[in-house]
Amino acid sequence: MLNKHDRLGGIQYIALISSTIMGVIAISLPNIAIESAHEGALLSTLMAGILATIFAVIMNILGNLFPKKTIVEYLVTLLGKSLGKLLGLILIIYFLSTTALILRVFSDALKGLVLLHTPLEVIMISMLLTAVYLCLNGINGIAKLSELFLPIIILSILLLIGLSSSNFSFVRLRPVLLPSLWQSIKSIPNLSSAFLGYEIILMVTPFIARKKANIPNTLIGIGIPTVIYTLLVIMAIGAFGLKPTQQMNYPTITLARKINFPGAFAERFDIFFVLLWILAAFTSVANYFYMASLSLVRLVTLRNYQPFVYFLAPIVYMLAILPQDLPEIKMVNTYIGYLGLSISILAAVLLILVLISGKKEHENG
Amino acid sequence: MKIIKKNKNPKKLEVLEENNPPQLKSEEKVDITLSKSIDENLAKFKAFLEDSSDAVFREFKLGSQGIPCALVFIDGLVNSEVINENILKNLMYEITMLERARGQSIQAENAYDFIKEHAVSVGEIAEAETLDKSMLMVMSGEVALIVEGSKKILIVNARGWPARGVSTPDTEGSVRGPKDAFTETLRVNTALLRRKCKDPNMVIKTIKLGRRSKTDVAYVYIKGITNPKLVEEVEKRLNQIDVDEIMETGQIEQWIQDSYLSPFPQVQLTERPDTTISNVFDGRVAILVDNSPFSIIVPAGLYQFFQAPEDYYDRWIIGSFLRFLRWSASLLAAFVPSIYIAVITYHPSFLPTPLALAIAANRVNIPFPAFVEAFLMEITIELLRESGARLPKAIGQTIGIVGGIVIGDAAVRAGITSPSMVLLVAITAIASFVIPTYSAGIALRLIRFPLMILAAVLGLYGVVLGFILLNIHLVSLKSFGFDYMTPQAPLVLQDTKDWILRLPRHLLWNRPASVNPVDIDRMDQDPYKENKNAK
Repeated sequence: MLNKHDRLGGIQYIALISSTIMGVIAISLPNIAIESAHEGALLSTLMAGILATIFAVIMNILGNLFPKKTIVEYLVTLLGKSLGKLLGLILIIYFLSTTALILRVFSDALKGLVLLHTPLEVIMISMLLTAVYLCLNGINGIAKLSELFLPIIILSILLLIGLSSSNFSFVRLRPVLLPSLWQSIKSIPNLSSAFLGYEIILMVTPFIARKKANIPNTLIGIGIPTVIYTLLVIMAIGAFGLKPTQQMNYPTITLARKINFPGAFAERFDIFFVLLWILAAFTSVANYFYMASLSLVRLVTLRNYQPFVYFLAPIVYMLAILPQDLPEIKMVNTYIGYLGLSISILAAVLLILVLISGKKEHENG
Repeated sequence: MKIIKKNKNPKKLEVLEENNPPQLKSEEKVDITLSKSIDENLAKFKAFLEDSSDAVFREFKLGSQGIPCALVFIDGLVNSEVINENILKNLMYEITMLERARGQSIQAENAYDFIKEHAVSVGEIAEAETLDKSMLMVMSGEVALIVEGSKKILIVNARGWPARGVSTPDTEGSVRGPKDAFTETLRVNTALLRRKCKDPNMVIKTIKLGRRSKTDVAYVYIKGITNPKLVEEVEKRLNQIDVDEIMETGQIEQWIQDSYLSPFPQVQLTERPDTTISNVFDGRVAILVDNSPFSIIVPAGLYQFFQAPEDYYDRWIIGSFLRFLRWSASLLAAFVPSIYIAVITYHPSFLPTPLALAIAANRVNIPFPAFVEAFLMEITIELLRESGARLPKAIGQTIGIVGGIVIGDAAVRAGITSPSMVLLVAITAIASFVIPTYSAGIALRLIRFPLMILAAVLGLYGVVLGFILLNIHLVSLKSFGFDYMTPQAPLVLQDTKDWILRLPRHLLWNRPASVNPVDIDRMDQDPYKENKNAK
């Protein structure tokens, strides 16, 4: 109405991408990186980030070709009704299961870290209800909240890195500086699941103000998590060494626990960072959840997504309590990571298809 | 008649009618068009006003021909000196001298025009052609002059009612800056604004709101700065108000705000003319209401409630420091009790061991869990605050002393609360009063209770959830269609110069872009840069 900010601006677009990517995995990333790539942890994190950037740019170009449609709609345009709807359904399942997975991993970690005696269900339900409340406010509310929380998250991680620099030693970093290239490349698929979240581009391009969903913004949006994740891996290895980091479940939190701050009011800084990490985890859960309900409403070609938020919340909860133990969660994580990669590859295939067939949507179409 | 319609028991209908014989509304008694005869016109006025003791009907004869005239006014709303000296004296005495000097007598046909042009020595006069208009003017304190042989009524301004003078602001004190505050008279308030802005582009438009109270409501903006769409929106929302009475700015606020389901104020209320005018200069619209010493400023963002006029009068370093202090204080006021509860109940290891031990030692004899303790103390301090605000000043001091003893000492000695809790409650209370705007401060004080409950249930995780919920609520709020959380969400970079920090004046070259003004530049160029170029 009066406001020129009714469509999402460039910074909001960046914040949406960054805050969706940076999430629950930030506290365990160094561990995952070392477990899958050993000496190649650093290089492979960086390469996974670059791979994610490439996919994100592809999705960005693809989305800009259809300025008024989300992927669920242009899948139908490109591939015909039956195949398009089927792929759209897979996409919804992917978004839903990712929401559930992040929720579960988050709740498990939070329970283990600070709320030892609180039932898992209470943590999950309270988080999910908060996400429902945000999703009811629509894409504008989500973008604004991401914009509000992203600086807090980035600053807190930079603070963590700065404060723990006294524990840092280049000697411990030496093994990862000259990794074997093959091992690094081999573990990229495993690590790239840490960078998933850029799929949000496929869903939000129609909401972005014209010309704001451009490639530089996408690069910034995905560059922030890449830089921060790489820094976290460097700091963890530099502070603890390769083998000890591999033994830790949450190396980032351990990093915070080791902070020695003279005259501090708090003894354990790790709780402080756990709290800020909740913000990061929340934006991921809520953004994925919104994508799930938005893609569902677009698939059945209805307008109002709000009833679907209520409808999907119990499903997400049920999916989240499905895995019995940690190995099962890890297994689900791997599969969802592969599904995410497949969707990224699908986007690349779609782009090639559009470029060949020339079926792009016209500006006013 | 409405009573009968609302009554659902038809048996009682007759009883009701017996008890309340149908009263004709004054409008239904008479034809409201004016006639040429003074008797008829007077009768029409009397139909409305004959039961009111403060209505005065003064009939007299004009000039040598003895043309019947009458004054109608409300005693107490008019300045009797003006009536005696500038109206009655002229019409009854000096007009005969005028007739003699001209050598002609006034006839009934031209009496009205003659009076208007020669006899009434008052600056502001108007004409009314309907009874409605003249009645409204009479009720607002003007004098109606009815002349035989004219269908028009002359309205002479002789307003003068008991009013409070301009005094210092009660709720928004300041160390530096002007000390005047709005009063209850709209005209005085608009004059205070005009004194501060001599730009003829500053528009003060007045409309009457309230079906019966017919309160004057003025909205002020500067043509060429304020976005015309904003002015349109203000007009639209004001005109939608259709109620019997408008007594106070707060009533207008509740009719025009965007969301009534929020504790946060969505318009800014201020009693300071300097705050009002600087907001008008920023491209906002100020709304003044007669009988209210407050102005409404729209649209409002959350950050405005942390601004005080001194921020701009003081040096920028001091202004920035105060701003930063206020933002921190608001976080303290909202979150400290809940964080305390969460840490004590769930995460004592968060504290350094000596401090944790000290608090634990303090709390050994306390029979309540931390939540109950905190809740009791917070409620007590709210009670003290509220009673202090309501009591007369002389007794208010007693409350302060009693409260100080109760909270500071007795509660601890009685073993109800621990000294650390007292300290905490005191810090929260002081912090909540740092926020310059009353309505925003009270909203922050209110939200700490749900946060305390969340903290008691879920620990620090609950506090963070509360923080997230609060922020979701804040980003979803709008004020006149403008985002409430500007300039942070959505980020408006050029506005962040005057946000948590107040940067030097020469850097604040633009008006807040978040209110979308027509003319964004406050100054032509960076003055310091210009000097450098000259050198």
